[in-house]
Amino acid sequence: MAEIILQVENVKKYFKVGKKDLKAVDGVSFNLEKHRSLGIVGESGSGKSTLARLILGLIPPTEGDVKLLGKSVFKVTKSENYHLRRQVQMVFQNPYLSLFPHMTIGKNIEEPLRLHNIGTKQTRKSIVLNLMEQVGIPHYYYNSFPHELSGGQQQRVAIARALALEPQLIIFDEPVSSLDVSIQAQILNLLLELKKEKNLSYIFIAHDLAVVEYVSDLIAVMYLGVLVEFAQTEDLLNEPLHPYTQTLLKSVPVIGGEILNITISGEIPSPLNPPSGCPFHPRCSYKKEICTKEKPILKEIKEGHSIACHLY
Amino acid sequence: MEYLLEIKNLKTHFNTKEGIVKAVNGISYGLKKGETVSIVGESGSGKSVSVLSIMRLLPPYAKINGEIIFKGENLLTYDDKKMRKIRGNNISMIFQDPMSSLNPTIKIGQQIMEPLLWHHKVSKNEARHKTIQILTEVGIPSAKERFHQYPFEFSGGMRQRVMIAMALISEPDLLIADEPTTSLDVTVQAQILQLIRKIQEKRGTSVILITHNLAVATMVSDYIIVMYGGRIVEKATTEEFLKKPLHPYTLGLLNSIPILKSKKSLNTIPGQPPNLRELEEVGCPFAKRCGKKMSRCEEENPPRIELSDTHIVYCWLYE
Ligand SMILES: Nc1ncnc2c1ncn2[C@@H]1O[C@H](COP(=O)(O)OP(=O)(O)OP(=O)(O)O)[C@@H](O)[C@H]1O
Ligand SMILES: Nc1ncnc2c1ncn2[C@@H]1O[C@H](COP(=O)(O)OP(=O)(O)OP(=O)(O)O)[C@@H](O)[C@H]1O
Ligand SMILES: [Mg+2]
Ligand SMILES: [Mg+2]
Repeated sequence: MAEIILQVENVKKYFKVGKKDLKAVDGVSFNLEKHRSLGIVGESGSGKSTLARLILGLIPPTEGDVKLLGKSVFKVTKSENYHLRRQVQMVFQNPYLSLFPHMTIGKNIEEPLRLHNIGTKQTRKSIVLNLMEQVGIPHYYYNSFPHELSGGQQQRVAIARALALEPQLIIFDEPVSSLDVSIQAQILNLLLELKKEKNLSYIFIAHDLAVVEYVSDLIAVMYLGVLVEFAQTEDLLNEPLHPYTQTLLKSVPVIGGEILNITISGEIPSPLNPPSGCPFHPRCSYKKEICTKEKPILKEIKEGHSIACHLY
Repeated sequence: MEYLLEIKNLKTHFNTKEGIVKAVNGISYGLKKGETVSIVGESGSGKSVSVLSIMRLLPPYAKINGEIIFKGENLLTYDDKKMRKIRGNNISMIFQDPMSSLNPTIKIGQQIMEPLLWHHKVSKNEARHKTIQILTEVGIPSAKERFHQYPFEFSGGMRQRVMIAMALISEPDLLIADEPTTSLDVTVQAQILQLIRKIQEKRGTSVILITHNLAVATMVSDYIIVMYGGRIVEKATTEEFLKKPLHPYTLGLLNSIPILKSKKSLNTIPGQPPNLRELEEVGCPFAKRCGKKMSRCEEENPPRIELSDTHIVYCWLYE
């Protein structure tokens, strides 16, 4: 069996809003094997970015655990933490905000190496130039500043920086949402290449299902803080089982298509006032009595295909 | 019918220490009441700068030339005070980056009400009522409680919906939406597009939509404008755009789109986007990356080819 790089174990994150708990992530569990890519889709506010921050150990969980290479990211000693930090990196949606504006491109990519005392000034420079090549940024940008690069180039620099420490896992949080489709295509192809050549595992968060399909072996669908479906990409797209996933697929915009009169009725629920029972029931056209009362749990109903729905 | 907005030969250049950035290099188009035009194109091709020029929301070192005729008057002759009356009242804008355009220290509800209180002089109670209604309409659940929250307590997509609410609350004649739905899931995206259309039908609002999603562009707009290197390279009705896209850059874009369950690998356009500081005055900005380049492409400006009254392409191939 393939080695497991990431174990997410019933992790929860509640934020206090006034006197109430906002359940941003409310019990998510899954494993990710090495060298695999997982796409996460789901509505805005469903907890995708919060889950990413939990996986990186950037915020403490309310409950549950995340293990990276068998070690909890929350219960590490300082020196272990230092080591762990190297293993997982993140790339954000807005490359401009994640690069240091007053540092050159070269320095931006070098920064994590410097922080981890890797190499000498000389060797670091050659590592940086090498990384620039890998992500397709010409060497003459070494001394340029971020604002002199296009959005797509900046995102490549952010990716180069994330690769600098040779992490095992990278989390991409909507990395191509703000890029034009031709640059998006470049970055997506780059990810596929890196995965093949560097044996990278990654988690890719995005709203565009076609984009997610292109780069992911597996897809997880989130809704209101929980996973509602989890499967191999092909299975999920060819046979979406959860009613929310089905609606998502129906809503994908198509060239020359019509704006769907989205069949989702009812109010979009709030994590502040989550509905009783299944979080999707107020918008679900198949809802039964039980759906308003009992929260369905994620169950594997076919090999590698899990859903949280009372219909099955 | 008359144009609500007519842009004539708009040029916007930035005088920076490192040289002049030629962000927008002579673009022209018109928009009638109730129409929607989508602007698509390269990152950095001047889409945002072109609409920020309309709103006059650019730093002082930006030089805007040409004419921006709105309801018969050239906005470029307006002073700041007159522009402030137009902004957020006759013309509203939904910005690309919701976090940096919301004030982090002011409660969401307060921020949305502001233009109402500022321009329409409704009572505070009415404003609050309207705000909660519009928040619900753009799909913010528990609007009454959310009203009192700060931007950081919202997810990216919810902040974007707040921006949309803010732009719509004053019922503008022209709505400029810069990537309004990129951070939303597709079901909410469809709802927002419907919402914009509903308001458009009710009030005859005209819309300029900037988007990277060509599918969305074709689904909502009457016209599509393709920009590259600060210029318009192709302009057509959506129908013409779908049937007969012509410019090599337009074709390159269409080939880069991933299509669900198609299993095709993506083509990219080789080469790098142009450096706007080194942009030549003559020649086609796309020539360096174009697979169909001829020698004259870099030496002469591309001709304006009219394939119909509404379909215009700037390219020597179709001469
Ligand atoms: N620091 C915080 N304090 C309070 N609430 C928060 C905080 N961060 C996030 N939230 C809330 O947690 C929920 C999940 O937010 P998150 O950013 O994880 O969503 P998301 O799935 O990434 O959404 P999007 O697709 O819009 O980026 C949202 O309701 C959000 O308002
Ligand atoms: N304030 C400014 N000072 C100097 N240059 C600027 C300024 N604002 C924008 N630019 C430059 O003008 C060019 C056009 O930028 P613009 O933001 O209009 O691109 P865009 O087409 O909206 O791209 P995207 O799709 O990435 O949003 C870019 O090269 C950008 O760097
Ligand atoms: Mg997010
Ligand atoms: Mg822009």
